[in-house]
Amino acid sequence: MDAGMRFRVNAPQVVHQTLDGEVVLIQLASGIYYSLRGAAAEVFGRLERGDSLGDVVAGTVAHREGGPAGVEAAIRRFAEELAAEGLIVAVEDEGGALGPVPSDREPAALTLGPLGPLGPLTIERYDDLRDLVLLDPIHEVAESAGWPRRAGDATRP
Amino acid sequence: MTASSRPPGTVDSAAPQAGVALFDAALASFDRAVKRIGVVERRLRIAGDVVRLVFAGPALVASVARALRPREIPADGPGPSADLEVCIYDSASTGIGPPPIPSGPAGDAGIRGYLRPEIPSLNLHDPARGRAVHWVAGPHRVPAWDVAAPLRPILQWRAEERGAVLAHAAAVGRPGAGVLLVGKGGSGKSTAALACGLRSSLLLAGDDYVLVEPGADGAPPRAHALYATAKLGDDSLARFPELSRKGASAGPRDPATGKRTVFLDEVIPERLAPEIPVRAILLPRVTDGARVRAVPASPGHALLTLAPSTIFQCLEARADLALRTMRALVASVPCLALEVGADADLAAIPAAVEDVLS
Repeated sequence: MDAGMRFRVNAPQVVHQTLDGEVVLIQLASGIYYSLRGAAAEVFGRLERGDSLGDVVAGTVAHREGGPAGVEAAIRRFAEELAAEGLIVAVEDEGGALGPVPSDREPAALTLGPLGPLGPLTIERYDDLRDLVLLDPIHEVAESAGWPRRAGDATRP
Repeated sequence: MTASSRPPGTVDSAAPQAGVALFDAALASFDRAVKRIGVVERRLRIAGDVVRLVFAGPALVASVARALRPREIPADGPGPSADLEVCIYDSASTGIGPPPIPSGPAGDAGIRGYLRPEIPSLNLHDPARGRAVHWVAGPHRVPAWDVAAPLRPILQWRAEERGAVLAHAAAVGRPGAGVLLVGKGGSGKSTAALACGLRSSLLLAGDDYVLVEPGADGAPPRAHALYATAKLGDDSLARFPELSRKGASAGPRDPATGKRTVFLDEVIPERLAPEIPVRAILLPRVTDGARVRAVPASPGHALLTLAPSTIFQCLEARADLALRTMRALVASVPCLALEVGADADLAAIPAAVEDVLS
């Protein structure tokens, strides 16, 4: 990932909200959901806002104790993990694709508190509800094929 | 909208005209069914809305209307005009084939659809006309979970129009104040809700789903009753022997989960409330010991508990809107973890709820 890369949340496949510094992300197709807290929510907020990876690193280093090397590596790894989970995608057209932060969204957690070292950038991942989605996959339909059938027993809570 | 980005099970029309034509064709099929076999009506009041259910013949009345009985208002006479009319038919009893099969990418006609090919069933909603169509192949094909929570896609879409959400939650309390009980399967949500409904004087607005409207102008959020049902496993039924004594074991059992549907209006009709103001959100969790207590929880944790199970169980909903509504909800009232000891006296649960409300 190069320092100029910017990202956006992978909507509409992913929906998310931030509340009291905690970010909840829900991946609709997979049935997996995520929680980001503390430093992870803070860095996610910067990425979501449209800061480039380099700006996220610079902004974090400026407000945190610790050397830039460790911070940069941690943020890069975090962004890679978010992208690997399909939660964020790189924005190709940085001029027009980002747009303003919607007014109903809680501002990203950019007002940093105590200037301690950057905490762990942990992605809390939950897959305990996956069956709800796997039992109800996308239904491809075609008039020529009649009502489609899904393999296996088709029951759902 | 491509298939990969479409919420599972949803279908939209390729163009506005196609969406309208699809809905008109479904209505025409329903009208043919009515001409052939006659009409049965039920009128409901849900969250202030008057909902008119129009059945082509009697075959689906039992499976669709049973869970909604406490919401019924007199259907005869002029009555209030309906905010939503749902046209309901099946092919087996009417001899009329299914509506056209929707396919293709999204349009913007506002017409929503939800297809369950494995039943098969189809729900369509045209908000501009305030009408919906529910079709199912036959009454014998309606699964137990649909009998427990009928017309869920259509009621979810109507809730969305009102800025509300059909939440996977229970609601208990008194007429002036109550709590939302939020939790995934196994959290003790149903046990807590039924302990309140059966072992105390608290009222119950729902065990599995309630329609939650955010508060406005200083008023608290409100949890509106939808279905008078609870889905219980054998362990829960054993925990509440009064249910079996009152005939609750007569409800259908879901072969996938083993859970039995209990129709609460047959057991505790006097304890069912049409709505409950939400003063707090409780997150039940089973702990060791015999203690029951409520301890503060973060709104973020409440959202993490409420939102995924609501969204994954209501895939026909607009997930972004639903999540935003739930965020507003958990931010507006205190959130607490309700720790329920595995050996606790069930009567201690409503006592803890009363403490929260006091």
